[in-house]
Amino acid sequence: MDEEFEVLIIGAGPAGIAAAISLAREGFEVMVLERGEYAGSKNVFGGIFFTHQLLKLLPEALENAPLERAITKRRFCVLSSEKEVGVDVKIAAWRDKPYNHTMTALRGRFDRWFADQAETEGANVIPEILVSELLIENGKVVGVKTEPGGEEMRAKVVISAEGAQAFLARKAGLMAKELPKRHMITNIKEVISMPREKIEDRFLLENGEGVAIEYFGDVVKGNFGSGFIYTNEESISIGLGLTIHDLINSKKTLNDFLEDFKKHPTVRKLIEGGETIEYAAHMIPEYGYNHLPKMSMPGLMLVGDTAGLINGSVYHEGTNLAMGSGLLAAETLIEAKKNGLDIGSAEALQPYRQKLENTFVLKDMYKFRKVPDFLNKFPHYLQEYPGHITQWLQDYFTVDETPKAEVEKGILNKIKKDIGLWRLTVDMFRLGRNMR
Amino acid sequence: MSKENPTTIEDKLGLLSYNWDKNSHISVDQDKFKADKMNPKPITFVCPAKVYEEDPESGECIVNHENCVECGTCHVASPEYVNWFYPIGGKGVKYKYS
Repeated sequence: MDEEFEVLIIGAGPAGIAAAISLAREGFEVMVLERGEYAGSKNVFGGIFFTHQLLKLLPEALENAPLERAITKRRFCVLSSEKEVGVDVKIAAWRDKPYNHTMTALRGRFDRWFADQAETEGANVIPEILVSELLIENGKVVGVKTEPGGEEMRAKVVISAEGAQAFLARKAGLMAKELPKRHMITNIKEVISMPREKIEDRFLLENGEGVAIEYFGDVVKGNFGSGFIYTNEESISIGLGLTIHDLINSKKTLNDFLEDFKKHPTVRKLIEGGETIEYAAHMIPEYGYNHLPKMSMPGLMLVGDTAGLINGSVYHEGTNLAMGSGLLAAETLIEAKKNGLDIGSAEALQPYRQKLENTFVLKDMYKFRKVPDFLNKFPHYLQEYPGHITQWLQDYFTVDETPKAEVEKGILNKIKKDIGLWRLTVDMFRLGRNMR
Repeated sequence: MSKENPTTIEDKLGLLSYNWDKNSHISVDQDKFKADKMNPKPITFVCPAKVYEEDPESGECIVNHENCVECGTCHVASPEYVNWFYPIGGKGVKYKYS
């Protein structure tokens, strides 16, 4: 094939489509290749969509996009075998637009709609085409090979929004050949259908409001990972994930963990009476800032999960970093073209990484850069503390004839025995240092 | 509502739609699989779709590629013997919600 496209984008997820819309608006000729039957058919996430980048691109999206519920309550809790200790952050002002930029979504609906917006803006989104290889000539990506058919398509620049598996980026040498077991988290989830009134009654929500609950500790039996329950309009998403390293050591299936989680005495009532309508699995690349791939090479840029753009920490942000990187990749190309550069050249693509560094995308990842290695190096935070903390609090609030002074003394003795005061101090200090 | 919800992986996979591809997008190096001393072998339990089973008689790996939900966990867990790539365009799992 002799025709050369201006920009080829691999993958119709949030990162690829954000780039496509942005470029199409500036008159670029954009082709998005999606391997699924439709955009969203292969795409899975936990369920929280952070909308600030979406609104930058499509200011009317809160009226038009198929989003589920506005999250007005975030709950973070630690589970142990029979106990749950949590912190609720419920903010009534988040009921008002823009809803704290935090909405639940279902990707089968949202991504399809988002890809339609790209088409409206003049980009071509072609489904059912797998990019099997990058065409590389003299150290420069010059196009792609597709399946079925083995057809080659040439382009001035290729944006890989391939997703977490990053086959093409690995093969091109922008990252290690194998994905790291300690930094890849496999999540599974179920979507459980439930009438809207039932969800609102059960979770104490007003019409259209939602809640996001994150679980740590026993939900993944103290492994490196976490669980979640999110409310959609007429369904609940429940799931969990752990690093592949820890999953291998557990010798259990993720479904074993999920079935235990669903039966947990403080969780089971939340999902009771619903009907499971989908089961899904997905990997999350939690490399952290210190292990990011190279973001570009001549003719190729990486965005979204492919580029490892995930802020794990307590925020669990991904879709906004994906869209943010898509917008910045587009901005890089738009500026290069204005400056009369060859948009696939090293010189044209070089500012991309700095653009990521200058915005929340890499500023946030930099702030939490130590977290993934820290949790791998000191697994006892997740293994030991959830059980201890919930037990200390159970003791503290247990009501009987024991004088409270003795209760406190008993807890102090338990802390000394369970952890040790010196070690507790060191642990808290180290936790603080590794979160900044 | 009173219908029993699925609890096993097999039953949960029954909730999904697929565009079935008669050609497998997965292959396993049987010699290296057999040589793996871990028991059970990781891919037989880390895969959330039960794609891989160890044949108790031959010790070979049975690959049920039609179950695959395309998460990629298998090739991260055992890159030495799992050769995995996406199904060709249009084939494979088809999520409606998630």
